[in-house]
Amino acid sequence: MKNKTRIIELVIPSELGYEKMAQKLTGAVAQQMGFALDRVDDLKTSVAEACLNAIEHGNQLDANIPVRVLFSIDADQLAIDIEDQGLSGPPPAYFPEPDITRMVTGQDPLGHMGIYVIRHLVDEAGFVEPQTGSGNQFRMVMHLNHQKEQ
Amino acid sequence: MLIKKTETWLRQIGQDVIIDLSGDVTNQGQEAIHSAYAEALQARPGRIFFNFSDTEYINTSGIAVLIKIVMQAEETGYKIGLYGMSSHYQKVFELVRLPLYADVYQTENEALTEP
Repeated sequence: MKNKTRIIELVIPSELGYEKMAQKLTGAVAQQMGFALDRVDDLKTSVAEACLNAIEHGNQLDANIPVRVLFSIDADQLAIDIEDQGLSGPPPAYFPEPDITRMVTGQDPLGHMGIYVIRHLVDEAGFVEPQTGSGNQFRMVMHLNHQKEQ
Repeated sequence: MLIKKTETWLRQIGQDVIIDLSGDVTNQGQEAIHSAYAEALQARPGRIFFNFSDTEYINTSGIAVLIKIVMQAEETGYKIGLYGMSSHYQKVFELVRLPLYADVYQTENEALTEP
């Protein structure tokens, strides 16, 4: 019999700092699932960064607008969806790799490193069609490789 | 307030100044970090190190604050040293190529004994 996906939902206000709540829950879920500690840290940082994007851009730092964090737990993977209102518009089609040299020399603005970091820490990451029909939804997936983790 | 306030302490060891950080390293700690760096410069040190041993949470907005410090250091001819962060945050620093502009060490002893 196929295992059913288990869902955990967290709703946080769009206020800086609350991404740490999502980060803590991510750590608890990932450890419980048996991810190696380095992968747990990778997930925690990725969720914090994704929530920060949702808080700052998607919900424009309006504490009255929530960010929804959905954990979908399967036997072989953890998927985490971050949903916001999309108030800054649809996400760019392309996220250039941040260039620290161009930042240091003033050619590029500081920042814009979150998506790049996430994509290098988790197995899959990207914007998906929002299941609510509006706003933005960012999905991250980490696969449980039992041969590696156990 | 869920963000732990960034706090800084300065220590001088020989010709070097160490800026000990505690709390979270985010853009909300920008003023504290920049003030500490400005104070460190007044000592006309040989090198300036940031000690992350007592920090828990670093996000990319905090890394942007560090890059701004690096920009200032480049202008004044200083090389910044970083140590005490977890292996995870070392990895994140390497991802954004911060080691191109700041020397990264495992421990204070390693940082201070590097010629």
